[in-house]
Amino acid sequence: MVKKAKVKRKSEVIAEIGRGKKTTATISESENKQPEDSNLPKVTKNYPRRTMLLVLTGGIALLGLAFAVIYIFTMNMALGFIGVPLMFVGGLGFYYYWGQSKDIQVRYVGDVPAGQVNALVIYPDGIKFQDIANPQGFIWHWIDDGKPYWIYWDNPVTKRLEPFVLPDQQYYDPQVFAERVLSLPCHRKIFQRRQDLFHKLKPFIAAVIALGLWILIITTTGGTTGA
Amino acid sequence: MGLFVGKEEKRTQLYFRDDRKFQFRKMPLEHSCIVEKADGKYKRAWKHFYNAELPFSGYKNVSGDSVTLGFSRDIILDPFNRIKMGESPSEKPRTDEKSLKSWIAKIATNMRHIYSTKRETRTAGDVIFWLIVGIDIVLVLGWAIRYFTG
Repeated sequence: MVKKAKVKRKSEVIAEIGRGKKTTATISESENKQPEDSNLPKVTKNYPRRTMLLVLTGGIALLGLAFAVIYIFTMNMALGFIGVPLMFVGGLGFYYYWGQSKDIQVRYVGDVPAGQVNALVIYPDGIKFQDIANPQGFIWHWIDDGKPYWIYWDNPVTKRLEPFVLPDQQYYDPQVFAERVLSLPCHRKIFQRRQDLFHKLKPFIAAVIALGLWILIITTTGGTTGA
Repeated sequence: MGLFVGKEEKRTQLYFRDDRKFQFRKMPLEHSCIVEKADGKYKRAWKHFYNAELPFSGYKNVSGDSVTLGFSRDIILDPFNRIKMGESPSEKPRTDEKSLKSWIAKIATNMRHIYSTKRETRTAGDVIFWLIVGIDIVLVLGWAIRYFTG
């Protein structure tokens, strides 16, 4: 008979954190929503960063809108020139962060090993952090936490855990592969579409529109400090 | 969505550097390769195979995911020999020069087809241009409301 894996309740996780067993997991409502027999990994969702950015960009957009409204009624050009770009930039930022995929924010928290962990072990069926007795080989530093670890792998030939040694190059250098094979600079140049007249004249059109506006506004309102 | 920025598909790579440091990093996956980009250009790339992925349940601040091994000197790291050998881009090449050349040529040909059919994408210049036009329109509207009503 297959024994079902025990899914911990929120109260148990809190108790573990209290005892110092679990240190990295954060608790969210989503943990409670998983059915007890789902066997799904525990999930935490880090919404605050996205939410903060949405609030920040939305706030900028609203501030810009307020400035633009004041500009319309007072004709204070300084407010107009600050407010309208703020409105656009804030709006674009809000639009961008609203569209950010939520699944990037999801963090799957594995079981935190009890006790000391000194090695990263690469097994054919997964990668695990665990403790190795009398480790040998070279020490590696994990950039994410700045601590040293030994790296072992489960050698399928000897069927034993051995220090992991990287092979020398067998196939292709990653930089050459990216810049020559994936990028194909010469071919891209050949296939590049020719710009039409509108694309070529775009900067001039933008400059002429902006200049015309300035002349129109200055000649009809008497300057940039307000009517 | 995706008017200005497309949604990137990402995979986690366990990356071993030459200076004996390692990290778990989420990298964009494009054209079956895990890529490092700068200014929109490919700087380094590693071939990605689903068969070579290893499950990782997560540890400390690193989220659990299917992880591909990679290192700084080569485009494929397959210590358990899970990827089939052959000359198709979905297989790993044999280490002899002829097989490797043929494999690389097939990937390059595939990329050539992609670039030859790729439509022009929106550039940063286009976005700035339309932003300026939008700002100008709002300014003109503001001016017009004030000028004709006040």
